[in-house]
Amino acid sequence: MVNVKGINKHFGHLHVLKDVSLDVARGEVVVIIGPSGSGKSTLLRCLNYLEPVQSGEIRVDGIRLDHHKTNIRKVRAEVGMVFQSFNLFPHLSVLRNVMLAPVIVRKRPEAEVRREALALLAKVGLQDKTDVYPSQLSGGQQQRVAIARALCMQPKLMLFDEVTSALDPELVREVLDVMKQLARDGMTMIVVTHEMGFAREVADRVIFMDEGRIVEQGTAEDVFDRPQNQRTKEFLGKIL
Amino acid sequence: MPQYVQDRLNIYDAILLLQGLGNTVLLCVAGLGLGLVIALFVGLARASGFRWLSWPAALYIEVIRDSPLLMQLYLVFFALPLMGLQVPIFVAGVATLMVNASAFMAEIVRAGIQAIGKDQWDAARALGMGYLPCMRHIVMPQAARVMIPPGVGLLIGLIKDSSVVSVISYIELTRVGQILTEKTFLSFQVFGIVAALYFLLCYPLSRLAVSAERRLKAGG
Repeated sequence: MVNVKGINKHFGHLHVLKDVSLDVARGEVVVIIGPSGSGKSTLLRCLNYLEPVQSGEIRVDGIRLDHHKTNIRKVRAEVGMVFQSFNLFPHLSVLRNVMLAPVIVRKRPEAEVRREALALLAKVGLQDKTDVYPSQLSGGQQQRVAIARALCMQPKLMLFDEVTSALDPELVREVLDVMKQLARDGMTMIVVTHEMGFAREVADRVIFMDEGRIVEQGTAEDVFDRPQNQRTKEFLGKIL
Repeated sequence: MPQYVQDRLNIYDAILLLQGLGNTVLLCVAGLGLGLVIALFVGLARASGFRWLSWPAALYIEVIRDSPLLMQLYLVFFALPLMGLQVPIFVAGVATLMVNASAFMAEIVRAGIQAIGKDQWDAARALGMGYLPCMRHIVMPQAARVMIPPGVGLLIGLIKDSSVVSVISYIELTRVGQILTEKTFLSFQVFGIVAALYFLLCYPLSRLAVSAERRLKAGG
């Protein structure tokens, strides 16, 4: 589903991704952990080309992202993304937030999209909030709307960028529950998070990043219980 | 009192005032309407982030903003004919207002666009939306809320400033006021009426802005 080969990314003089390679299979749930500034969010943003890379190759579903003939918008339509700060559209109701892109990007009929949007909002437990505006919702509710919004595009791959980091502790679970359900449904997911419990429960693979490199990867048990790399051990020692 | 001086305003004067009012409306609707359309493009260019678009837009805005409206009118009406381009009075008035409105409004458009955070662009682009759909469905509806108060202030200012077109003898409201004052010497009454008519033009616009702002605010 995702093939990343030796990508390098610079912000000015800052070398944020150093020769990163990564393959993610269809249906796989990959959790990326690491200290802040390790490049994990940047890597995620490179996967739908919100950030261009300076060298290397990224393929999503076989399509090369930085090829001049690639219609990047078409690729993005297949890749759902959920952000740390929700990024809902404040001027649109919850239902309209979910319906907008399928209608204007996918050009699907409104009635059909409305049915699907309502079903998705029910699935994330917000069937009674369809007509309110994002500012009237709690953080956890907003984030669930954001997940429904991404899912309504019927993506092949979902990217989650620290989606629970901006939430009050008691709201984290409701969002993680939705993500766990999604993982059980077989969605291909790449999740940047600090939620180690979530990683243990659903991750097929855990990747530890530090200073722009993938330092260590393996099953959750391997990485959490038997870390090989010194920096992984230090990081886990600090957070567990 | 000389014969040609009336001591009161008659029905013909009232009709002339209404014609003046009509001409002012015509001038403003054409000049400011066209100005808003141009402002949208200049503002988009200014905010685009492409130097070859934003620099010319910035130059246009600065040159217009930093020179007097009256001089611009003189240039259009008196200087262009010297280069062989005769401009009718009405067209000169409309063109001047248009250029002025577009420059000031373009800055308001730019500020409105830039008030919308990068996170909104990220979300829209991640959903596969391109520049135009994102502008239309995400950025502009939110920017409108920021743009309306200064935008309406600008329009009201320019409606009143449209009185400078009286200097090239376009028979708009202010020019009618001058004509009637010369005829009747009733300066206080005549200019009082003229001022009241300007108020009638501008006040509804103010109210409209308030209600539009309130409606946009409804969306959280």
